[in-house]
Amino acid sequence: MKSVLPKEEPQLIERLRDPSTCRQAFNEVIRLYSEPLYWQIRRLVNSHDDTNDLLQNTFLKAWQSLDSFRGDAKLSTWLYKIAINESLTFLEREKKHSDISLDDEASSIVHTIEADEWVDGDELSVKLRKAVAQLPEKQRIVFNMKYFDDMKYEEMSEILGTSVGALKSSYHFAVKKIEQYLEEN
Amino acid sequence: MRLNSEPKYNRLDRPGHPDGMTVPEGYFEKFAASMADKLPVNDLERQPAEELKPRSTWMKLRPFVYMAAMFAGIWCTMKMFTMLQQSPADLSAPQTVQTDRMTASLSADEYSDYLDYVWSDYNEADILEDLYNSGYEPTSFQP
Repeated sequence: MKSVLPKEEPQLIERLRDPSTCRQAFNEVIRLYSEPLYWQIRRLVNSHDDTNDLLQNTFLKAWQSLDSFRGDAKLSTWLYKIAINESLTFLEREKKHSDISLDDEASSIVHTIEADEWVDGDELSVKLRKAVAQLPEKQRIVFNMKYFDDMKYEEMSEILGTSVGALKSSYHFAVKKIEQYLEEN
Repeated sequence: MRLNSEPKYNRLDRPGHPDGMTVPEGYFEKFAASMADKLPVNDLERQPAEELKPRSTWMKLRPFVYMAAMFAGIWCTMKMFTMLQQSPADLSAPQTVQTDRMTASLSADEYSDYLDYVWSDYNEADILEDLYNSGYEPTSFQP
């Protein structure tokens, strides 16, 4: 599994900030983070094609604003922030474009999940995705980050700009709602 | 049904196969290659090109001009301090002149002139009264 080790990250950031090595270093960043970022975006937007576009936009934005990255935050935190912002902007645009109400939003996501051709035949997994689709947007993001990525609340707080207490509460409510959905269905 | 308290999949930096979703064969390798080709020249890469611009005459002279301005500033400051140190002596000179003038004005000749001026208010009636008081007879007066 590809990953950047904590002790290697400062060197990678240094190369990213050097004009002569930044392109080569950024290609390494793409190789390292395209997969985790892809899954994070995919869980939010569900469609492979939309995820592909958003992932490209995420890396393009990161590349264009590379000179503003000071290395204060972790590289993964910075990329996650961009990816989530891109995904939320996309979802907002989609909502406005299709003019759907909050109640219809969940059924629209379920429809996207059912129409997605890039899924395996695991029925329970699809059921779980549908259950996650019922959650409000913020709870959905928190649940995905915690349950699937096992991200620390502190890191989530940095990415989402929400307090750790509020995130714990969101995750708790999300889990309860999903359990209830799975029992009922 | 309860969710397992343990996360189903791995962390961000060790992603596993997520919840039933798949990707086309070799997607991530192809994505990395195509993304690398799509990256335009960014601001960071433009920086060296700007630095390689030929240096103008002003840019070459600038350090020397700044240095000259700095020395001029230091010289002016030192000059100002020197002037400030000399000033008390200069300021005392006019006072001395004034004191000398006062002394001169109070010297004998000028002082008697001053007294004459004061005594000029002493009129004729006062003189006669003084004379009467001292036993002077006007008839005995022979001009």
